[in-house]
Formats: sequence, structure tokens, C-alpha cells
Amino acid sequence: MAQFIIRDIALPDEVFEAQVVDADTLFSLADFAHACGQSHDWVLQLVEHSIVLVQGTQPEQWQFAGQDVQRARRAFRLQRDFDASFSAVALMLELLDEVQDLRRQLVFYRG
Amino acid sequence: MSQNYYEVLGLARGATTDEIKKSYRKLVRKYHPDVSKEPDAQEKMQQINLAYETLSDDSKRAEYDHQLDNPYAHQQGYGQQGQPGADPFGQQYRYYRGHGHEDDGQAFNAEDFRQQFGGGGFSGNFEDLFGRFGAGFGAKGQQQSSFRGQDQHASISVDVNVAYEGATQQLALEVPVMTAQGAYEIQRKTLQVKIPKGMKPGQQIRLGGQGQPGVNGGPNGDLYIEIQYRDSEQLRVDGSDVYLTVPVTPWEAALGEQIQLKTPAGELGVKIPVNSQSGKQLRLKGKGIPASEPGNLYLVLKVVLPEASTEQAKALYAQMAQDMAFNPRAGL
Repeated sequence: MAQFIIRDIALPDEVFEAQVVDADTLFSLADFAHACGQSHDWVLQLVEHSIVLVQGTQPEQWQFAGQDVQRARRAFRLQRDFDASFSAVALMLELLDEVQDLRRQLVFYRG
Repeated sequence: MSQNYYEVLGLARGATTDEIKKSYRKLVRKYHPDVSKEPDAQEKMQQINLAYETLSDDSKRAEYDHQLDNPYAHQQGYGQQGQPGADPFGQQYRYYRGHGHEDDGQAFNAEDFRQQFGGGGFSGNFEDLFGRFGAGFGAKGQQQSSFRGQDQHASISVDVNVAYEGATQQLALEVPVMTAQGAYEIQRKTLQVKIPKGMKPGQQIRLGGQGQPGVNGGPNGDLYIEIQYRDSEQLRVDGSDVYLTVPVTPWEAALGEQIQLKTPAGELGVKIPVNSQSGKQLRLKGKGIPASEPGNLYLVLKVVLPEASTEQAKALYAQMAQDMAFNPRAGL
């Protein structure tokens, strides 16, 4: 069993400005893969299965939208925790989107 | 008394490996945070993972069984995360805890890390850092070439008011890193972060350079923080829309009166339409989460009856019963 040291890091008393990651925040393939903590090949598979959509035709020109970082990470967790293929993950995400949409409508019409 | 690992998985002590695996898979389908609609899915999943990690490993299971049989022989059990000697790899979903409230600069203390399941306050999650839940932390630490540190992800829950006004939050982070000497280390740091207004639930902010340290002179990774809003019985956020439950009296609902209301969008005067039933939604356009396309604020009316606790109140209800031909069950 590895031993862990807990070290307290003192930071300057500054307030960090955060950048909002939204549809206007565009990522290259390398940055998107880095943000997801995955390999380029894994991201290529996501695009191949239309789990995330990209702008641009060639991988080196691709641009990914900021909110898809979370979608990709969700895809990774589903794949890992359910031993799912990319096709199955694509289907799961579509069904989950639909369930969420239906739940929203249900709340609206019940009201 | 918390459940033991067998109880967490809904099993008896003598469960077979196959039964443990089946039960685990079934529970993952129910409580996986990405698919579950259960409000406490994340915490349940964490318990389920801890239980499974122990019970699916023969030697860990034997040790755990021994502890169950000799409850007084050990000062600390497997379930006491964050305690000295506990397995930090076991904390699958919660590596991170923010603390404090809006602008109050409340100090963080080490105790908070130990209260992983503590209620109240402001809590967050640092996901996917270690083991099979990780994207391989520090695995490349031995290489000579320099490269960028890993990006990290966390989530925090903040008050709905932050959506309207923005806020500076104090976040306490525990970041697992591999040092240049190849040792594992958990670095604890507290950041002041300005959260802009207009964030939708689930949206992320990015703090450049606050992720994993770079290796051999490479730049640091970034820290991504997902913003969630704390729902309450009265208040719920759905995308850009905000739903506020508003209790009204029967006469306000029936006669249609103007009421003054404190909402996250400020104090508003609202005219209740005549003959409003409980559950009726009033849409205040553009008063939801502010943005270039702001959401709506929905007031969900909840008619609350005064109790018939005095003779006069009873007489008033009796009078209504006598004078009003009203049968809400006519359609049944």
C-alpha cells in the first residue's frame, strides 16, 4: 500500500477569474482530448460515432464546442462503468437526453 | 449506525462472488450518477463502489470479515474515509470539497475533509483522479520530456443567487500529484474563485493552470469546475429556467390579488389571476437565469388552507360548505 503525504499549499491571496466554458469556447482535437483526459484515438471514435459533433473536415482542423467536454467525459464514464461499446454509449446518451427532455415536459404539463 | 458493506450491496454475509458481482451491476444501473434520477445517487454510488472494491477482492474481504467479527479490535474501520490509514484510492467520487458561503470567507479546516458525507454547507466532488476511475494520474511521471499537467475536473453546488449575481467562492481542493521523486502526494490548497453570473446548471468554468502540475517544466493543466445549484423545496433550476413555489391563501388564489414576493430576481409585485388553482404556474418572462437569452422564472402557486383551529374559522368553513355548491370529486 503506497503511503501518501498530505501537503498544504499556500497560495497568494488572489481571486481567480474563471472562464465560462460554453458553445463559444472552441477546442482543437489535442486540447479537447487533454481536457477529457483521453487519447486522440478515443476522441476520434467519439466523432466517428457522432457522440460529439465537430466543425471542420480534417482532424487537424476540427473544432469542438466547450460543453461537449462534459458529454465526452460522461461517455467515458458510461463506457467504463457499463463495459459499453461506442455504439451503445451513443444510444445511451441519446436515450438519456430524451428521458431528460420528457421529464422536463412532464413537470411543465403537470403544472 | 451506517450499513456494513454487505448491507450496502443488499447481500448476506455468505454471498458468493457471483452474487456480489450481480448485485453490484444492478446497483450501478440504478445509482450511476450519469443515469440515475435518485437525488443521492452520487453518495450511494460511492458507498457501493467502496463496498464492491472490498468484497470483490478475496484478501480485502477476509480482512473486512475479520473486522466485522471483531468490532472492537480496530480503532478505525474501512468506511472511515479520510482518516489516517484509510485508503485514499477508495474515495472514488469525492476528492474535493469546497467550503464556505458566498463572500463570507469562512475558513476551511482539515476536519471538513473527513466529513465526506457531512450535511449542510457547500460541497463538491473531484472525480476521476485515481485508479480505474482515473485517466491515469501521474502515470507518465518517469518520462524525461516535458509535458503539460493533466486537466482536472470538479463540481460544486452553490446557491441559486449566484446565478443572478455571481459570487466569489472559496474552494478547498485536494489534488493528488506525483512528485518529481515519484512519490504520491495529496496537495491541499484553497482558491478564491470568481463565479460569473448567468451560469446554467451543469455548465463549466475553467481556471487556467490550476490543474495537475506540468512535468519537467511543462505547463500546468487546467481546472474545470462544473456549477450546480442547490435545489430546495421552494426553488428549482432547470436549464435557464427557475421554478419558485409560492404559497398563497385561498382568497388570494380565488379572488386574484396582488402580492409582494421575494425572488432570486429581486422583490416583485405579482398579480395572481382570479380562480388560480394550486399548481398553477405563472411565467415571468426573462426573470430566470440572466444571459443574452435569459430564462424564465416560473411561480408555482401552492394554495395553503388556514387551519380550522378557532370557532370563528370553523364557522367560516361551515358557511362556505353551506353556501357554495362545490364538489371537487364530481368528475370521479
